Amino acid sequence: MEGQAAKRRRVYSIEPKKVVEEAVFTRNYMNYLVPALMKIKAGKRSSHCCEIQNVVKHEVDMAMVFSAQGFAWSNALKANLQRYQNEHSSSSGGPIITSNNNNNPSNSSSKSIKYVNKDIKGEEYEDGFINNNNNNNNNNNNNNNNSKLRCLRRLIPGGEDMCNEQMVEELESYISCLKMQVNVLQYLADKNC
Amino acid sequence: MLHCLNSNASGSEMTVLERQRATIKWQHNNNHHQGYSSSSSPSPSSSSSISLVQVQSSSPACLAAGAWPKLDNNFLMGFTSSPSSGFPLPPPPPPTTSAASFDLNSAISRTSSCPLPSLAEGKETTTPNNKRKTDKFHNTKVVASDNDNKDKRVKVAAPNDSATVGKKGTQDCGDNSNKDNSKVSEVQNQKPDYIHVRARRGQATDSHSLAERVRREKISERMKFLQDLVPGCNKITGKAGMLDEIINYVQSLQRQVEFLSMKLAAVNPRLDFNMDDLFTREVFPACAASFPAIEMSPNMANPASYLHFNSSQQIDAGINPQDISLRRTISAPVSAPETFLDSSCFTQTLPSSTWEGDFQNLYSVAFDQARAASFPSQLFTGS
Repeated sequence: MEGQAAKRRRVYSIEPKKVVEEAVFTRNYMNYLVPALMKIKAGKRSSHCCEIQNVVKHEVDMAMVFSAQGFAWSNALKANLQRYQNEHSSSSGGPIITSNNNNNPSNSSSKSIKYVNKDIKGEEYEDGFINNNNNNNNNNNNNNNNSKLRCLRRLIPGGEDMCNEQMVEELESYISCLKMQVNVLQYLADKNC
Repeated sequence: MLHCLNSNASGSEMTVLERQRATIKWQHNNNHHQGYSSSSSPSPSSSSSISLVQVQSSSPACLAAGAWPKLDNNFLMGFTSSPSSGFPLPPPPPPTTSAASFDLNSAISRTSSCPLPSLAEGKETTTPNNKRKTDKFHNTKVVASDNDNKDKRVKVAAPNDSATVGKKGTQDCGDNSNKDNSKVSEVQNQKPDYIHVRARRGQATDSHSLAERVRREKISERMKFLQDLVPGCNKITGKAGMLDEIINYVQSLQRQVEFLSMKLAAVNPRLDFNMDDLFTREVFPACAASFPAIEMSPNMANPASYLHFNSSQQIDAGINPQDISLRRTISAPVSAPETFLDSSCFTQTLPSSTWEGDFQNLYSVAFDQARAASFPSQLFTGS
């Protein structure tokens, strides 16, 4: 089954590498996030803090999506967010616990995915580590690498649908966008303390 | 080339490349009066073993599109895996000499046993690696077919789908099996942009293995890019270590994002007009914009260091100060946040405390002395 899935995934055309420009990304990000945050703060004074957190998180991710268009991961992230939004626009608005909870109904949201990844990575990493310790067979190394690639695949939004090649490509843009996002958020957070 | 083919009666010595060249020449000579079918036509039925040769630098389109169906019969027959006599002379024009062509079933597997002559197309010839049966040329991807006597369509594997050769083959040709290294499929609307693989000595020559290798090489290429992105990866050489680092880094970044967003949510934000001002000033001319923008973020730990960072990134020696200022201005407001992460890298570079001092320092580092003298004055006069 894995093989079949892998074969399916291979049909993918490599497009020329897109580079995310720092300035452009940051500007778009701020442009989106700042008004959104202001709106949140203005509107929901009395809400539960968890809700606010979720909404902020949501906006943070949306800002990411809009600042880095055209990548597979950003499209996947967008889809996740929209799904999340659809799920919760209809819900009664109970706070979604953004904790290490795999039973979260909104499992498709990027937030819970991030947390889930932590657990999974822990397990996978341990397995890989043990493998490494036991023997250095090529086989084991391959398994090792494969499990790590699987980890990475879960880390990057939309990674399950990518083949290894594509995933490594997307990783470049994803990592640089994450870095820039962290910068922006750090700046915003420090500015407002 | 033709004489070369002639001389090599033992077709096992014939290189695939020479065959291709011969094909091309033959094509040009005995061309389209034969009413070439389109690229989508099935190959002649009598072709038992057909192999596909993709030539990159020679006219790929015509070769790929038009050539193969006709060539199959007499020419490509020679590429079968059954060892037999020498490679036929490509000239025999009528494509119906299947009898003769079956003689030509010199195995492609055998062809590459001779060291390749270095060919004009600049292909690499690695002689020790030529001993493999289905060795492929550097610029060509050869897929030998199996021995079924059915209509097989010749398909060129798309570049990026090198691994889908098998897949598409199976779709078109019902029972095309992977067992004997062969797929025949037809050129459809694929771009002539092929991945060229050579099977190394001692390595599997299965088309799938080759495709796998191509993919793996691409992946490792990409990993090198990632090494630059992920800090601290320069020393790590192994793929596993790299992957570990990348995973850790991505996870830490994601955790940081979560933490910061929670922080943002908790903090009562003076989410301020400052931001908007920062961005509106982007379009302002250089001197007016940069100075106030930088002034507005007093908590920036090392604004000069950031500027230094930007300048070292963006500026060559040849750029005139005008461009520098403009570019700096545009990037200054939006890159303000980056200071925090980058300042840690650059605190050592600019230890000075005063703003003007930093500027002077900055420009002496980044620019000519002449420019350094003039530029700060430019910047400050407008404000």
